[in-house]
Amino acid sequence: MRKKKTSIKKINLGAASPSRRHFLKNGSAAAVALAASPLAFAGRGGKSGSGSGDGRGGSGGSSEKMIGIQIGAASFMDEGVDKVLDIIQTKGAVNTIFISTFCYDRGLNGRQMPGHPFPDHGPAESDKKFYHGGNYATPHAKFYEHTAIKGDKMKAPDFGDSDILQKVIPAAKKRGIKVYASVLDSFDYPDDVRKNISEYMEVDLAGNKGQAMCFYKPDVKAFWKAVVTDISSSYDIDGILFFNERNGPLTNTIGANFDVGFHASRITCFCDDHKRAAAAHHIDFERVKEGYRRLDNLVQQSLKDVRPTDGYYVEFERLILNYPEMVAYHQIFDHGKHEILKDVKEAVKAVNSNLQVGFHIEHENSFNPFYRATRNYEDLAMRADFLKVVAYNNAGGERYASFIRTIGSTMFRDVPLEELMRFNNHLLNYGNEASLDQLPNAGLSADYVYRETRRAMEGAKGKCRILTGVDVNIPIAKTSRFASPDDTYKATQAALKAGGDGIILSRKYSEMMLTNLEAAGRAVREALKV
Amino acid sequence: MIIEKENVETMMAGVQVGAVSFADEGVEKVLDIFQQKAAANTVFITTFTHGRGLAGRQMPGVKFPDHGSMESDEKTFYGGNYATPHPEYYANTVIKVPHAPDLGKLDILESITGPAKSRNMKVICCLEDQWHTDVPGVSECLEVDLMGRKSNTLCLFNPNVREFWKALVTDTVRSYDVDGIMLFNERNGPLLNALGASHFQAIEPGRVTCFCEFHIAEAKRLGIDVSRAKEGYNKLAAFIRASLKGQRPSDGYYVEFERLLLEYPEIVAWDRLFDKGKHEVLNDVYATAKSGRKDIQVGFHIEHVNSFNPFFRATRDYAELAVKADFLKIVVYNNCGGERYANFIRNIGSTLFRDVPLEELMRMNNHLLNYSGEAALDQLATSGLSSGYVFNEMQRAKEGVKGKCRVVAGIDVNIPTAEGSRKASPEDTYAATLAALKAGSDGIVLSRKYSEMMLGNIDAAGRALREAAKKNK
Repeated sequence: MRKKKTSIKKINLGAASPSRRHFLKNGSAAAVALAASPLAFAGRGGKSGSGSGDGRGGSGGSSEKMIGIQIGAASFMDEGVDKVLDIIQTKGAVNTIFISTFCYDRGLNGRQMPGHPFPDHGPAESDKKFYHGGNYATPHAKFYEHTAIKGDKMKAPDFGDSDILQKVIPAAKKRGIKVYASVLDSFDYPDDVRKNISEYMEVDLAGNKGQAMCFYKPDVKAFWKAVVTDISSSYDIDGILFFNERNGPLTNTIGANFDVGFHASRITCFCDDHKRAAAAHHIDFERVKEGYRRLDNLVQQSLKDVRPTDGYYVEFERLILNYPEMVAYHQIFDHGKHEILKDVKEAVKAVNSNLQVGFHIEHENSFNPFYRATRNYEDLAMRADFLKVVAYNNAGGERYASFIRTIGSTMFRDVPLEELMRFNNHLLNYGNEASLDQLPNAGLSADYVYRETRRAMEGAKGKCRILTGVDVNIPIAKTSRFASPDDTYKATQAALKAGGDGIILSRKYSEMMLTNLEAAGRAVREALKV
Repeated sequence: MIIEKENVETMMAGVQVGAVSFADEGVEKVLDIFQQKAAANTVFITTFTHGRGLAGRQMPGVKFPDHGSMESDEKTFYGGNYATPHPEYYANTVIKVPHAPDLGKLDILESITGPAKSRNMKVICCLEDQWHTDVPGVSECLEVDLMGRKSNTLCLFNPNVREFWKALVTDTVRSYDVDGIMLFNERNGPLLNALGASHFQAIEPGRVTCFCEFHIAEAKRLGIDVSRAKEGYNKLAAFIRASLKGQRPSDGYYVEFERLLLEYPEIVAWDRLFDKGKHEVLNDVYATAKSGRKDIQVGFHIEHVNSFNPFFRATRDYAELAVKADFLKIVVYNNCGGERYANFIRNIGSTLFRDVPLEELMRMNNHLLNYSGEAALDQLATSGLSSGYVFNEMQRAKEGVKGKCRVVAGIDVNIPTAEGSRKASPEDTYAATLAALKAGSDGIVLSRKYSEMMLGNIDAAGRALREAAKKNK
C-alpha cells in the first residue's frame, strides 16, 4: 500500500515562505494535512488521499490543487533523484511528478531535443547517440500474455537495467510528492522496435505500412491494457497519464494541425482490422478510400495553386458532402482512440480503484474548431479522473501560426492568412493575440491560457478534474521567442486564476530553465497562498 | 471581344414576364418593347405559379414602374396555370390545378405564341414550385414539419407531386408550340431552413421539413435513421433558439454547431435527401419534356443563395447540373443582391457564427466566394452588389458547366428592394448586363418580371446587349 502521510520535515516550500512559517507555528492537525498536501486549496473542502468515488477522482482529493511536472528518466539519471526532487519542490512548488515511463518520443523524455539550447541544469551534451525510448520501468512478461506485442521486450535500453519508478517512487513519497506514470502512444517507433511490431502498424491509403499502431487490432488494444496494468500493479504509483496525440485521417490529409504537414502516408488506417471496424459501423470502405484519394488530390492541387472554379473551400466542402464516409471514417479513428482511453481507465481501476487516470488533451484542441467539435469535454470527463488540457502559450504562437498557414494553403487558400486567423480567433474565443507574422515572437498570451482552462472547466461540468498543461520552455524555432520567466509566471497564474484543479508544467524538466520553473512556482505560491 | 462572333445569332436574350403584363398592356405592345428596348429574342412567360415573384403586377406596396396598370392586383391575384390545363394529362395525380382565375379565360400561351413566332421570338414557359394550400389535391401532398404540422409546401417524394410535374410539363409541351421549359424551385433543404441560411428567410428551426410518410419512406430506403434525424433537428432547433438568445456554448457557437453535425450526420443526410428529391424532379422534367419533343429546351433557374452561401454552393455542382439541362439560368441579381446578401450574413451571424463580428464574417465569406470590392455590410443594401459580382459569378458558372450546357445570366431589373435600399439605375442594369456578357454568358434573362421593370432599365440592358453584339458582327 502506498503511504498516505509524509514526514513534515521533508516538505520544503522554501525557507522564506511565509506560509511555511505559518505552518510550523501552528502545527495543528489541519496543518499536518496541509503538509501532506502542501498546495491544498484553502477555499475548497474535501478529504485527501483516497478515491472519492464521485467520478472526479480522488488521490489527493478533489480539494487539492495538483501542481505537477512532467519529467523523463534522463533527468533523474543525469542529475540525481533527490536533487531533482529538491529543485522541483523548492522552485516549482510541485506536489506531483509525471514520469515518462513508457514512451518513444523525445517530447516527453530524453535530454533536450537535439539542436536546441540546453537549459541551465543537467548535462549540456546531447543524448542522441544513446537515446532510444521504451519502458523506463521494468516490464513484466506475465502482463503481456494476452497480446502478441511483447512489452516485456520493450525495456528502454538508454540506462541499462535502471528502473526509474523503482528509483523515484520511494524518494518522492518521502517528500509527499505523488507519482504518476506517463504512457505515450507514439507517432512512430525506432527501427528495431518497428521491426518487431510491424504487423500491428497502421496501413496508409497507398497500402504501405504506417508509423503508428492501429487501435483496432486486438493485440494493440490488449497491449495498452497490459502496459498500464503492469505499471499500476508493479509500482506504488498514484495514477497514469495517457498521451495520444495522433490525428484521424481527415485532419491529417489536410494537414490541419500545427506540425503535421501534408503527408499522404499519414492518411491511415486502412488495415484489415480497421476495415472490419468500418464494416461494423456500416461505412463503405471503398467509398472511404475513393473519397480520401480525391481529397488528397485536392490538397495536392491546392498546394500547386490550382484553384477550383467554385473556390477551394467550396470544393473541399463538396467532397465532404459527396463522401460523408470520409468524416465517418475519421470519426471511427477517434472512436478507436477513445476506446483505448476507456480500456486504459478500466485496466488501471481494475488494479486499484484509487489510482487516478488522466488523459492529455492535445494542443490542436485549442487551434482547430473542427477538432474542437470532436472533443466534447463533458464526454471526455466521463472517461477520466482528470484531463490535462494543453494550453502551451509560448510554443502556441508558432504552432498556431503554423496551423493557420497550413489550412490557409489548402481549403482556405482563398482567404488572406491574417483574416483567416482573425476569423478563427473569433470562433475559438481568443482575445487579443498577436498578428500572424508576430505570433512566433509574441507567443499566445496568458489570457489564452485562462480562456482555455475556463472553457475546459465549463465543458467538463465538474465531472472530472481539469489540469492545465503549462508551457515551460517548450522548444521553438530559433527565430521565435524564448519564454521568459515572466511569461511562465503569467501563464501559470492565468491557469490557476481560471479555477482549474491544478497545473502540469510541461513538456519535460530536461528542457525547462530553472528560472522559468521558479517563476511557475512563485505564481503557484502566490495563487494558493502557501 | 465581348460576344464570340459565332454566338451572336444564337445568344439567348430573354425577358421574364407574367401573363398579366400582356393582358394589361397588349401582346404586340409588350413584344415590341421586348424587341426594341431589350433586344430580346426570347420570352420567358410564366405559365405556372402561385407566387408573385414571377407573376402578377408589381408587388403590393412597391412603386409601380413606368408602364402597365398602376393599380395593384392584390385582390385578384391568385396564380395557377395561365395556359389551359388539359385534364387527360393529370390522370395520375390527385393535384388538379385549375386555370389561373386572375385573368378570366385568358390562355396566355394561345395568346402569345403566334405573335412571338411571327417576330421570330422564342417562347419558353416558366413553371414555378409555388402553391396555395387550397388548390385541389394539394392538401394530400403537403410537407410535414418537425413538429408534425402540415406545411404549405409540397413534398418532392410524394408520388402525386412527382406525377404532377411530369403532367404539367407534358401538357405544356404537347399542347402548345413552345420552345422550352424553365423550372423554378427556390426551396431549400431543412438544414439551411433551420438556420435561415438564405437571403429571404426567417429563422424557424421548428418548421423544417419534410417528415411526411413519403419522405420518411425514402429515407429508410436509403438507410437514414429517421428517429436520429428528428432528434438531430430537434437539438439543432434548441441550439438555434439558444443562440438567438445569446446563450453561448462554452466551446463557442460554431464548434457546438459543428459538433451537432458530427454527432448527427443524419442532419446533413436529411438535407441531402431534400436535394435528391429536388434534383429528381429536375430529371423528371427534363426527361418528360424531351419525350414530348426532342427539340424542346429545358432549363433550370439556379437560385440566388447559390451565390451567397458556400455550403449551398458545395451542394450545387455546375458540371452535374449541366447534364440535366440544356441551359441554366444563373441568378446574379446584383442590385437586390446587396440587401439579400446582408440578410444572409446577419442570419448566419446570429447563430452558428455569432462569435464573429458581422463585418468580419462577411469579409471571410467574400473570400470564400471570390467576391471582391463589395461594400461594407452596413452599406450593402444601399450599394447593392457590383457588376464585378455578376462577372465573377457568370465566369464561375461558365467554367463549372464545362461546355455541357448553356449558362444564361439572370439580370436584376428593378427587383423590389426595401425602402432605403438601392433602386437600380439604368446604368446599373447596363453594367450588370455587360458584365454578364463579358464573362462569356450564353445569354441573359431580364428578371424577375416585366411588370416590375422600368423601361429605362430594360433599354439599358438592351443597349449593353446590342453594343456587345455589334462589335462582333
